[in-house]
Amino acid sequence: MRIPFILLFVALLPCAPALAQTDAVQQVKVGATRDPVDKSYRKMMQGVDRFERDHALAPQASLRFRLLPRQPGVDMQGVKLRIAGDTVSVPLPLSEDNSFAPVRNAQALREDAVLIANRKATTMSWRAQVITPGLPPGTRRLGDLRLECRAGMDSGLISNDPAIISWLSSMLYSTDKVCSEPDGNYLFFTDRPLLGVTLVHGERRLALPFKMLYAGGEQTPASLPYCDCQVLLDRTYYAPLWDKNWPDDTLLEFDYMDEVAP
Amino acid sequence: MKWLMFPLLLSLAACSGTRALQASKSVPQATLEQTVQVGSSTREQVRAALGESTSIRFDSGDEVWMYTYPAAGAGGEYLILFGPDGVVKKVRRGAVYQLPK
Repeated sequence: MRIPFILLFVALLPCAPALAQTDAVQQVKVGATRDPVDKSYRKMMQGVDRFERDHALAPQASLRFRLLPRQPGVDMQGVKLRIAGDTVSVPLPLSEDNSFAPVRNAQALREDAVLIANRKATTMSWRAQVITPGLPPGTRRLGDLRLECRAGMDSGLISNDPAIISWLSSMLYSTDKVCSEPDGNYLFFTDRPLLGVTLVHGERRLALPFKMLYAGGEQTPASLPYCDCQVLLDRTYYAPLWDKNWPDDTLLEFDYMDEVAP
Repeated sequence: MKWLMFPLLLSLAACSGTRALQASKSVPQATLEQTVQVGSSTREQVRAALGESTSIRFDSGDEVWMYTYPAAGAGGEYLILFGPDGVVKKVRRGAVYQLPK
């Protein structure tokens, strides 16, 4: 009976008053970390398997995973990541954008290892990253995003929620539902604040509506801490992953807030 | 455990805390173009001339307001970006992708 009571407790958590979003926040930098960010290595490799299975969506692309800030003030400089099992420990070097290439390690799989970062749990979120090389600057390819969603969902790295919430989420949201239906609401992020996104395929150009920007525009200061867009809200968009009228080669062109209009 | 799932889901739904968007206001495009001047129009001026519409404010102090306007085929959206000083920094307009109902 412990689990149901925990579930009820967790269900009430969203009712708790949240800190105002605009409060000044001190930077959080933790050297040796108790309660660190950790993720299942086996689960991450399921995402790698999904990437390989559905590679036709983005045949030229490779798969990486990227760490993103989840809480205000988290220091994303100097993040260290490793695969840790009972006997195995494999450092995963991060590139400047805090992304890394997944590596296969049979022993880590056998030992049901975890990925551990030197940051506290819930301070960072994760995303699969699938990028076809050679795209014009300020664009993403729709097929890459479709594959990113599938690999990201299968790898269970979407956000660093407590295990019980992840378990509940996985019961409610399957990869197929999230990545193939209009209300799937898989969040993507750009590197800079966005004012708009335009779908471009051949001669066709069409902007995404406001409802597909900023996590739908529906977050409040109270709900925001439960969204992994908490500190990236102005960089957040949904893509029409489900819409076959826009093929995989469709580009999403970003119009950033800090760019001067042509 | 099934008996617990229903109240649990109800509870999650009740507490999710997201807000209903303020409905967007439809304004003729010509009015929008005349009213909103990049670099000089303020939030107060735009509100007084066009009324409230869908909006969102970010931690950076930037704010985005959205008005709709009638357009051939798909509907049109007019986005206004206000800087932290309350002055229009940038606008964006165009026909938009229609989400399935």
